[in-house]
Amino acid sequence: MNEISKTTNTVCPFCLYGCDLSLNTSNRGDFLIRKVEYDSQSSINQGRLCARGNLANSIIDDKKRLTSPLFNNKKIDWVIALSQISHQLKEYSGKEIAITFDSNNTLEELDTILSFANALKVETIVRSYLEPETFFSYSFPDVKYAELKDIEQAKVILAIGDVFSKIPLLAKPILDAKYRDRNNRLFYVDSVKSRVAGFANRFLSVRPGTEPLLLLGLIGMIGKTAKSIIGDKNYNTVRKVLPSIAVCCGVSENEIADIAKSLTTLTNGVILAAIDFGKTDDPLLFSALSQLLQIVSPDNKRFCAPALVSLPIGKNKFGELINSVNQGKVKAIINFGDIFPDYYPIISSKLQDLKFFTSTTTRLHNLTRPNWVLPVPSLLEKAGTIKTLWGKANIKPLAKPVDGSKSISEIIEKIVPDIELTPKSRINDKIMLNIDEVIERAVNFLESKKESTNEITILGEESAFGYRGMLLEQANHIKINPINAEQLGLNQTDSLKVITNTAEKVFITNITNFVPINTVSVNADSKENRSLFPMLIDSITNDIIISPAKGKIVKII
Amino acid sequence: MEENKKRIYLDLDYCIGCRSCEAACKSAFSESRIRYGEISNTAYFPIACRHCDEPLCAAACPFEVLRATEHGFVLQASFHCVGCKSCILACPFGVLDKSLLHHVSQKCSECKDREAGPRCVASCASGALKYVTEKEVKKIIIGKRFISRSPFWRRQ
Ligand code: SF4
Ligand code: SF4
Ligand code: SF4
Ligand code: SF4
Repeated sequence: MNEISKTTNTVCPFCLYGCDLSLNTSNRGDFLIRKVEYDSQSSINQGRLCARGNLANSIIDDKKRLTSPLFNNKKIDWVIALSQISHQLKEYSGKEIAITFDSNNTLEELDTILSFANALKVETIVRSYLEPETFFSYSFPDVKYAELKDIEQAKVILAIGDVFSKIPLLAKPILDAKYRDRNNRLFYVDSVKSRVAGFANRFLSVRPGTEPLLLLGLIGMIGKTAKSIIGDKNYNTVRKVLPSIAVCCGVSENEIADIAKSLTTLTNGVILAAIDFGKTDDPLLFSALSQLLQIVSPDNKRFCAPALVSLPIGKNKFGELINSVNQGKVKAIINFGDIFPDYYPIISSKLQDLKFFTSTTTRLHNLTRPNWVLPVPSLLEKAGTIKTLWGKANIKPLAKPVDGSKSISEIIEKIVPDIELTPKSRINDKIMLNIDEVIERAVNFLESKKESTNEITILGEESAFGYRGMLLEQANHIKINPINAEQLGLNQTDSLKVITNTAEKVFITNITNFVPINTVSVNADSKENRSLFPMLIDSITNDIIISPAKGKIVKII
Repeated sequence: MEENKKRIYLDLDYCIGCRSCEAACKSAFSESRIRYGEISNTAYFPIACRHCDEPLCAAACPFEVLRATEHGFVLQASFHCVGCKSCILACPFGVLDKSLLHHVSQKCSECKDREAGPRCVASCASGALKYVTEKEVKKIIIGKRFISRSPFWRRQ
């Protein structure tokens, strides 16, 4: 038996951190063995990887990989599928077609997709990756972004949201920075106590959904520099509402002032912001105010949004698409991606009447299916360029594309023969924010938050180790505060039903002080759990906003 | 205990409970051989095999499938394992998981198939796991870092 062993190096495409990732493939007879390797020489991650990177081999060898196109859930030959799609598409004008895409594509593939849209004269090109973190593509022109060394050398770090579970690899630079000097500070703001809380010098537990208000409070407390940047009028408005901000967030004004003081007095710092699915009420404000906080903080503070997206993301405008479908203007959707429609059950149900719906996929999903499903290689089997926090990176294929899949360009060339590639057309990377509008939105948001209801808030929490369910254990668990548990007569591991406007599900009770009273928290990586959360169309931006759900909890006997 | 024998140590001040170590082991061996625990949601830690000088798991194995080698590793000849679970009950640290894979108990081999050493250590997201000798571990300050005002009075 001769064994051939080969190691391929690439950049992990699963989040913006861009770890160096190597895979060793050895051949034993007909049997392929893939093992992840750890390159201790790498400057970014020194061989360290999170659960997603570690499980790269199981993502390639996933048993659920789709190996043949499907038409209405039945296997169909590629040649027939592509010629029929091409034929059926001719019935629609460019205006009636929408093209959507997500982060399973390289930058080059995105160019091809745009050329495809041009060839079909399609006007609606929309991102189908709707996670709230994409709101970080809205930004101010003068945001200063952090590099790895800025995090390592920081004297003060403000983490908003669970940054460790978004990118566990950030833990080392953050903790190194904290432990380096006893005066260094790590602050943490969140509505639930995540693992970051155990390491923070101070943990501000805000009322669920109100993180943006705390940020507004910090901006108001920073003083001189804030005043000169946001302007006298805005500054006075914010100062006036400071007391109600504290009340709304459930935090004392002194505590906010303390953090603001550290941000003002300590040099070198990083503001790290992470948003989970179903965790904050207004992700756009969250993104805008966390960036504004960087801009108004004096002395070399930087901003970092460790999000999962590694593509130019642009405006999502998905709300517009849904409206157009409902009005019958858009009749056909072609999706290039893997997450949509499966991970957005509420949205998929809104699109059920579409006559023509094609989607590429890397693995078989089982919720709502489009009528055409085309298997494509995963990012681990592609070559091309992706975006990372530290600039653009080239990825190399770790394995041959899965049997029966076709690349995006092969598919497109068959649907539109002689397609002309126009690589210059790029999706707009950033959408610029305006300070006055943001402050106005924030003040209105504060007004809307003032009245409190007796309803239970259901929050989502994501975890890097829950990736694709491979190490997922908690999807059926629900975190509930001891006081609420007592009211309902609940014991640990009892069954608890959650009812929201959109769905209901039974969970196993996990009584913990890590969620505040009248709040429960569920894992947001699971598709079933995701259907509990409403997906609203933001009236100003037309983006999809996924906020915490309101609902009821009932003990099941 | 051999002073120069490398073992897997955990720096609790760094472990964030991300379970990359578990994922790394699972990725290489289909089932994880490093377990993961937490104390009332406050401290998180992986439980790695100590490769004991006098391994009780090996003593309990009725078929001598588990054996201490002369280099101080406790290895399993998994082909001969019958899945009787005696070792699982015997390990005083609860390292061995009670679930079997293909009727075989899952015992850490300290990644003997990998020249550069344990995968769990190499992949540890925060650098909390260390593969060092007893002498070297004394040089690493563990549990003695700066006082924090954290909600749990952790890391004092
Ligand atoms: S931190 Fe990001 S880039 Fe690194 S292994 Fe995990 S998913 Fe991949
Ligand atoms: S399994 Fe337990 S008893 Fe056996 S060597 Fe490891 S730590 Fe010691
Ligand atoms: S040393 Fe290797 S076999 Fe042992 S727990 Fe770590 S990864 Fe698993
Ligand atoms: S990989 Fe490191 S930080 Fe993560 S759980 Fe394991 S020991 Fe802890």
